[in-house]
Amino acid sequence: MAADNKKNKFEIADTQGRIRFFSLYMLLAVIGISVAGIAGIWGAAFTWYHIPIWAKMTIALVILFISQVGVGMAMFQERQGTWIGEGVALVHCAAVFISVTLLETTFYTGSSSYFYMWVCAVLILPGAYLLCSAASIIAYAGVVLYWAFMTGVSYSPGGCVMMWILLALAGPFYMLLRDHHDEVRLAIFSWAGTIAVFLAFGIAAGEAPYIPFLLFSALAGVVLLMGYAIDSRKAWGVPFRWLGRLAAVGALLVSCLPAAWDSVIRVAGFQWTNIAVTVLLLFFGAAIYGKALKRKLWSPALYALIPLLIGAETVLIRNGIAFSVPIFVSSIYIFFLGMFEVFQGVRFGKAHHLRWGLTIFIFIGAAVLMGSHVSPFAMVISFIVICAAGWQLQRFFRKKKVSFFQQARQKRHAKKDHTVTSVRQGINKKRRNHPVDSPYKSNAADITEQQEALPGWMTDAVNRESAALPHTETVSPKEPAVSTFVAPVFHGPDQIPLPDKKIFAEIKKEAKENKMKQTKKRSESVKTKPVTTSPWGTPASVKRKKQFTQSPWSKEGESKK
Amino acid sequence: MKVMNFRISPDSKYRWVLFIFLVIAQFSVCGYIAWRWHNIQVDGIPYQWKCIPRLEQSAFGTDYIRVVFPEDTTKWLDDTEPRLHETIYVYISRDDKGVIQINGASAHKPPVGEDYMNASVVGYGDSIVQFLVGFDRYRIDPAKADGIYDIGVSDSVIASIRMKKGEGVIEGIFVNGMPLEFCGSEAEKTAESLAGKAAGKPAASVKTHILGSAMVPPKQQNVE
Repeated sequence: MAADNKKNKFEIADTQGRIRFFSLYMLLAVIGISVAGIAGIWGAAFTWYHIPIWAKMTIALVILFISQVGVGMAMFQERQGTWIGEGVALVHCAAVFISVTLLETTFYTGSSSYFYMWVCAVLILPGAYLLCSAASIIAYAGVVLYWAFMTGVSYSPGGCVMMWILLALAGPFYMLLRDHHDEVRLAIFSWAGTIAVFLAFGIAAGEAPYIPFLLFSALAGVVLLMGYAIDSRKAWGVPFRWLGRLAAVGALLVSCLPAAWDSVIRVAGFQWTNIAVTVLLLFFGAAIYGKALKRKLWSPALYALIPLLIGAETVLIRNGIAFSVPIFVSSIYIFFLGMFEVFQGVRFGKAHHLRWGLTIFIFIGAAVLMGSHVSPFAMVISFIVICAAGWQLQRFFRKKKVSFFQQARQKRHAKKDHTVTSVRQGINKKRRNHPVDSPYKSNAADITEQQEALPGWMTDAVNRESAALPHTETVSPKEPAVSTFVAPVFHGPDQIPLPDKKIFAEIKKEAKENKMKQTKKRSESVKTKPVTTSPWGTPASVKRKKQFTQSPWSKEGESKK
Repeated sequence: MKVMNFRISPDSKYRWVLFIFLVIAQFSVCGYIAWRWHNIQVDGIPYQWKCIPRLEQSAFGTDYIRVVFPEDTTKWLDDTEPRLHETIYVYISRDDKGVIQINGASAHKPPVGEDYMNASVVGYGDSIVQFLVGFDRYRIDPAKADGIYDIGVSDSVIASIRMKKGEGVIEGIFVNGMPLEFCGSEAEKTAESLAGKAAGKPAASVKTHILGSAMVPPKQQNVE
């Protein structure tokens, strides 16, 4: 044992030493490679001028060709949608960027410095589809957004429409992943796609003369309804639902600010494209709500109403009917939404909704504290609503009108050891205390224990049922069968009696006689056999008689003369 | 009725067709970039334009210098004012010596037969637009780029440009008719000796160029 322990300790020390050695080795390798890389870049920068132009072009094309071969190999080996495929696709993206950048700087003509990003984005998109790479698609969307942001949507070729077209080209990737049931990539793509859409909207709206929160709310409503159209158990619906909510409330919050409406009043005329896109989004949202939503819930309906509300407010403002009403209505509605979310969280124990409701209130508080941006009337209304809400909540908690679900939660959380491990350990303890776990066990103590373990609403229901029903014997217990099993008696080796020596001698004698008889029989059988061939020779092959087979057509035509 | 059964999918039968298309497209773009540069150099109309060369700041050094064109304002020919960073077209022509003549700028291309430069708006006021052209790099050996320190205010620095369809390539920069590559220390010595011989003075006493403050990068000031 001591030797084994010593050996184990030695092995552990050896492995630890190896790990230390390798970690040091890795650190040195990383530093070395970094220094070598920097030196390489520095050296290349010094000699770059002296490299002929044709050689630079060859380098760029070779880099591109190698990455294309990699893509082809990955496709041939059917690595699409795997981590290797993702890596190959990303390397391909990098190679395209390197090649185009090399060529653009070598053959410099003074074209737009960001235009090459547009070119690169278009060139990497097919590779992303071919390898089913979510990372490449995200890179593509990032490049498009960067290009639009740096160039300016108004000055980029094709303008705002081109940016949306380029982003829309990544849309079929969603269908592709959904058809392949690739849930992980689909969830990642959904998050990235939703964020990209809102970022694109931000870039496009940055150059607008007013804050287009009506269009923004319509977009948010559509995104939200798309999320609700997806199965709630699927992970890829989460970004649509939550980012849609966030954007819708953001648009509503903006509509609470007088400054936002000022710009809407001052603008000479809305662009027809904005109006058309808003109307299209509203129709699209209505279609999703009517057709695709599996269950008509309150939550999406409340959020889907936001664009309609802001639309109606915009009509009022543009017609000069009422300037304060939109702010007033928006403030009330946003408070109502906050209350609704808090209520959802408290009533049904949904922590996310509770947090979201509180976040809405924080947003409102921040908007109020921002100063003079919010009208005093809206502030008064908001205070009234806050007080009313507080009063309602106080009443709510005082009367302890808690739901069955909350009762169950409270009971479960009241136990100190309510964790996964503690629950398992508790079960194990119970098993140890009651090793014979018979299904027919029906002690009174166990029944009470089982009832305590049940949630509150179930115990209440059980008690009510048991009190209401008369006690009748419906199951007659089966009589236990009489067992014929006899317990074995074990004896020690000393207790077992040994046989006599005579018997041993007789047994030996019989065995000898039997052996003699067997040897005699063998020798007789060998003598009777005639020895014709060598025992090591091959046995003579038996000549088979030839049996000629005749074709069924062999006698055909004999009868003819 | 299914009109077209085409799906962009890694499983579809068209994936190799798409792959071949991708390869061709990528190589074509690379080829076009090189061809465009070559085509401007061969087919482009040559111009001469006053310029100021500057050293480019970079961590690892560059194989080019930045070229600034001081003649960067002209009259705006359109009724609607240009927006900042908008792409505009500067109408140009050339005189008998081949020096560029800037005739105005517009948001629209000139009629066929007239030459133009692509540029972006830097500023606008009183119907005068300030623009920035794209071709602002000149490839030069880093060892020979020091010659720009010796360029004086009175020196004539001309960039030789070729233009085609609004895009340009700088072919060379000449300081008093001498290529910038030869304006370094070696060229100075030869110039000094030539000037000394002509004036009958020792070479060391002759200063060929006056350093212009605009040509030298500003020194770093110690801010306390």
